[in-house]
Amino acid sequence: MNINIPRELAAQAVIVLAVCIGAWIAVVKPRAAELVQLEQTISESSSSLNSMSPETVENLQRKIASVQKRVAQVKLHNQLADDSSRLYGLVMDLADEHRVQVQRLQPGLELKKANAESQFAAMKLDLTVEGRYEAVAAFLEQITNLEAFIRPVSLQITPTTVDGTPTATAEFGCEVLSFALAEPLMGVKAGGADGQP
Amino acid sequence: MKTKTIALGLVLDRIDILLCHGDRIVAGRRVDIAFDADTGAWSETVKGAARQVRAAVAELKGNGLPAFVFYRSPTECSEYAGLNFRSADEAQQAAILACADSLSYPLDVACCQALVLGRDASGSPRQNHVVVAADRDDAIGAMAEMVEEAGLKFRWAAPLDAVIISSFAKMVMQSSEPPIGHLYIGEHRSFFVIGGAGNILFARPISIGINALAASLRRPLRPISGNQTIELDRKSAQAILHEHGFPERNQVVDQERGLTGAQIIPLLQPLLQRFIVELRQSLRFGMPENQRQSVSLMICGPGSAIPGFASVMGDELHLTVNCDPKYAAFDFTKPATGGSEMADAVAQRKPLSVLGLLPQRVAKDRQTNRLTRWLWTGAATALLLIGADAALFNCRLEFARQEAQAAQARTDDVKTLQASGERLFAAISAMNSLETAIQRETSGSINLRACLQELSRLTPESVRLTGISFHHAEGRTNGHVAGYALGTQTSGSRTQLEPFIEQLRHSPLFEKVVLANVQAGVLGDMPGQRFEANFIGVSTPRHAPAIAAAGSKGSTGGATP
Repeated sequence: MNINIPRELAAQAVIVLAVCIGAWIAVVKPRAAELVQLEQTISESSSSLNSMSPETVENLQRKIASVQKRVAQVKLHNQLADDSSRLYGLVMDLADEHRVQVQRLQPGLELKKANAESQFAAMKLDLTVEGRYEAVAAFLEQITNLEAFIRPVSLQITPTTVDGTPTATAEFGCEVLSFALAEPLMGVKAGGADGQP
Repeated sequence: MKTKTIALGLVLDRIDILLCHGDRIVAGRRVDIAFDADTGAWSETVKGAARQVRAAVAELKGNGLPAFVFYRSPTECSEYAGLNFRSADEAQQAAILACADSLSYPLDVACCQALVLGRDASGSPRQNHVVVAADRDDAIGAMAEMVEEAGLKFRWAAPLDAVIISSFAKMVMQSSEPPIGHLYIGEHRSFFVIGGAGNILFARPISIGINALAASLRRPLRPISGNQTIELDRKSAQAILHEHGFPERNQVVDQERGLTGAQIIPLLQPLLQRFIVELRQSLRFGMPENQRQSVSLMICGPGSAIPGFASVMGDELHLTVNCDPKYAAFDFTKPATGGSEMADAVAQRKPLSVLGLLPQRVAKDRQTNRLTRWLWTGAATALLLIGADAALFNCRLEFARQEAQAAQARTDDVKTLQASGERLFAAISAMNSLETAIQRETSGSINLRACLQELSRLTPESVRLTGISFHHAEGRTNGHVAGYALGTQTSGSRTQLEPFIEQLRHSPLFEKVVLANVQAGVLGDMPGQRFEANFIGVSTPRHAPAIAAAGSKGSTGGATP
């Protein structure tokens, strides 16, 4: 049986087909595309989550805690180089403690940066003390063990006699160093005990 | 649920309007109309009958019902063919082409349909049995127009003879009994089929029916009393035929007119003889000789109800003749009578609807409407599917958006953590550089107290140190001692200088001890040797400065190495 399709019906069929295709393109296709995009985002997120394991987070926390501690220590050690009056006080306290006489105490000018790669400043400190040999030795040890970056440069000990008592006169020269913190370390603040960044 | 329909029977002298429930006739009306044998006049007569048909339909309360027309027209063609094709489609096409040759009009103005009744179950060759119905397009159009004007919905029109042949032949073919003769005596034509057990062995129409018998009774006849010849009208002839059939010679068939069987039989005899001859020849062609005498004959159709017809046939053919009791109740005066051709056609309406003819215009319109319905149904379905698809996508999108939002939040956290990690790694790298610098600048120092104590311990009484100096440069500490090594009265000129220097060399705090300058000298009033010694102090590792306790001024308290 031959199916004779009238021209009008053929035109209606074309219009209906166009409407259906247009409806699909306008309504379904954007949603399908958006769904594909969202699923891709979810997939990428899952893979990035897999790269960050709890062990990695724990390692990061431990390292952050240790860096924070060390930065705090360095800052503390740097304080003495910037505060000559405090340094003077500590030296005098140590002299009193070990019963040595401070004959001369001369904080020097800040030296220029010795190393451009690791920026640090050095303040020269010269002092002359007098006292018993053992006391002077103990005094010098305590000076070098202050909570600072102290680098002994020179020591000259000469035996003398004061009021008939054998003493030693020590001319001690050292440098008090201050290390500048690089920019990545500037943002590391002292955290709590759990080492939170 | 059975639907109500109207079946219209257009035969040569009337239109029967039958109200049907399913395949059962429940009521009927009859409109007597004399149709002309001329084609154009026939169509006009059909159209003109619309008003009377409308009235009959209104009486039956059938307005607006779908209507099926079974008809006889001067131009209709109902043919049977048994064809030797394996494919039913090929048999159908071949039958239509064969019918086209017998049409008096070209095929392009004709409406043709063919129905394949079935294929022989056995035998060689196995034939496909096809019935073809055809008529002029304008004749079908006239009937369609009449039906629509009568307030009905035209469905199709089928030639009554084609429907009767199809129904009869199908019934014979589906009979499980061994092949016997079947004779359908209709109003206009009769059909003779030899078949059974899934086969049709022989089939042919016979152009003698009830109308021909009734027409033969309308010839002039002379009653017993009186010399005038009388001619019966159509109704009287039909009444005598259906009431008395083939009477005995002395049997009175019309008291009023004084007619007996003696006047009737000679009128019927020639037609009967022709009928018998047709049947005898058909039996000769259709059955082997050894089976011809033993075959029985089943008569059906409205003509089987004519009294005496079956017995006369049996006597003449010397066969056992049986009548189908379904047709015993046929009453030619009632349109809704059982056993009529219309009753047989209505009963087989649905399976034989393939033979329904449509005017080309109507067929085209229906096809267009059907295509349009398919088109809009398909469009609605497609838009519904698109809507459902969009709704489904919306649900999935909602869920995906939430999941993506959560994932994005987690990703942001991870990115933050990764950024923190990167900053941390940068800080660690900077810290490592700082530690290297600190180590470089602060290492190489000696323990002053330990060195001074060691010098004090190692210096014997006979050695007096006049100066101890240390100087740190280029990463190492150079030491220098100066003093006097005094001699003793017992040793003479030998002093303890050499052992002193040796002990310095063995000390772990000093290395590369070198006696630089020895001169004789006097310290006070004691002679001795003035000496100078140089050495390099061994660096002691600086311990990591401890974390300051709370309230400390920065005093030592550092752990000893």
